[in-house]
Amino acid sequence: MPGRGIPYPAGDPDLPPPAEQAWRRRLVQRALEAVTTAIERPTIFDVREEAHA
Amino acid sequence: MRIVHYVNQFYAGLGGEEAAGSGPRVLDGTVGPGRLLAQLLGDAHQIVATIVCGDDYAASTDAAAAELLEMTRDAGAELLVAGPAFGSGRYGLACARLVAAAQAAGLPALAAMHPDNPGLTEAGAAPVVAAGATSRQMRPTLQTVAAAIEKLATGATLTVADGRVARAARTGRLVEQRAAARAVELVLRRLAGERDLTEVPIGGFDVVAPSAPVEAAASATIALVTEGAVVPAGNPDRLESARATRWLRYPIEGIDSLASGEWESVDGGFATTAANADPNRVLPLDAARTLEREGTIGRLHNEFLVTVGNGTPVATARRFGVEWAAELRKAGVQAAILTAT
Repeated sequence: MPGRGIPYPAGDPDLPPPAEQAWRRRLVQRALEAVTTAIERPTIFDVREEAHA
Repeated sequence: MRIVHYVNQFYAGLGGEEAAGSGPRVLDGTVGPGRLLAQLLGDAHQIVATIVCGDDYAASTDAAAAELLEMTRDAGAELLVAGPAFGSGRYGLACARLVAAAQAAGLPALAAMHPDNPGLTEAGAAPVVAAGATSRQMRPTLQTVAAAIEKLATGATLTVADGRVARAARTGRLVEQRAAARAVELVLRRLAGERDLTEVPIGGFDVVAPSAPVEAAASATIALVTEGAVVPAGNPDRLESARATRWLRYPIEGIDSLASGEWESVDGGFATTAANADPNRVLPLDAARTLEREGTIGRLHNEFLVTVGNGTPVATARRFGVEWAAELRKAGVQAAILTAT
């Protein structure tokens, strides 16, 4: 899963705090989808981009 | 010689992963691969006892090597033989630590494992001979082990010719041509079809088999782990900021979020300003806790594991990975989310 950046894989200081927290929540949710998915070959799990609230 | 043989729970026939947490025990005589080894050794040497331990226990219990060594001594060993562990990481670590402890305590010891086994670097002064990658190479591996035992019994030291594996020392020598000329010659020969020629052999990349998926996150225990060096403010346990030699664990029971000022990253590989302003940016505890409360995560593991990935050698990182997996499995964790910086 691509993170947001090397110094903040699970955050983004450029976002306003509520949007950053929402993004982090989606990141962890996506990670949970990844660990419940059967993997057969290298697979990238992107966090689906949604409009920053 | 009186030999004590060390094997894991699988080769002792006690079970697979479900028995990996079982503690040390002593069995009389030979068990599993020890039978073939005894045959190959003939009458000159006798395997008097087999020490068995579960892989998770052996790889994640600090006192395991000392406990196993004591049992080995009690069984009257003149030589300890551990493995072969083939490519199995936890088993390899267990064998390596045990033979290192034995050799350091003055008991001759020998281990066998595949040269890529992450345990290899833990064997200390004890000799390790090469095993195949899997147990399909059991017989040739045990032939190497038996020959090594014969040689050790004469008081000789094992060398590369005996199948001994270790980092080879680099020695200087003079060559006739300067580097530029050799490089051009190398390019020409490679263009002519000798594709594998090199003066600098580089280790290959291993293949990681993906684990089976967790059935449902809502009923699983999930751990957060990171190589982003998140530690309590002030770094009381002195985690390195680069080239880690160890990893740490911190309890997060009852903590909803990693507060700035209470936690920080000591990673020396990036600017930690943003991480220290909100450490959840490296270890997403706040979001994971919310999802646990809402029932999306069954249970969040009550501690997180941490090291620093900055400049840490792959061999060390592989060993941490094996130790973390054993640790988390022992704690009943089904999946881990690793954030990497």
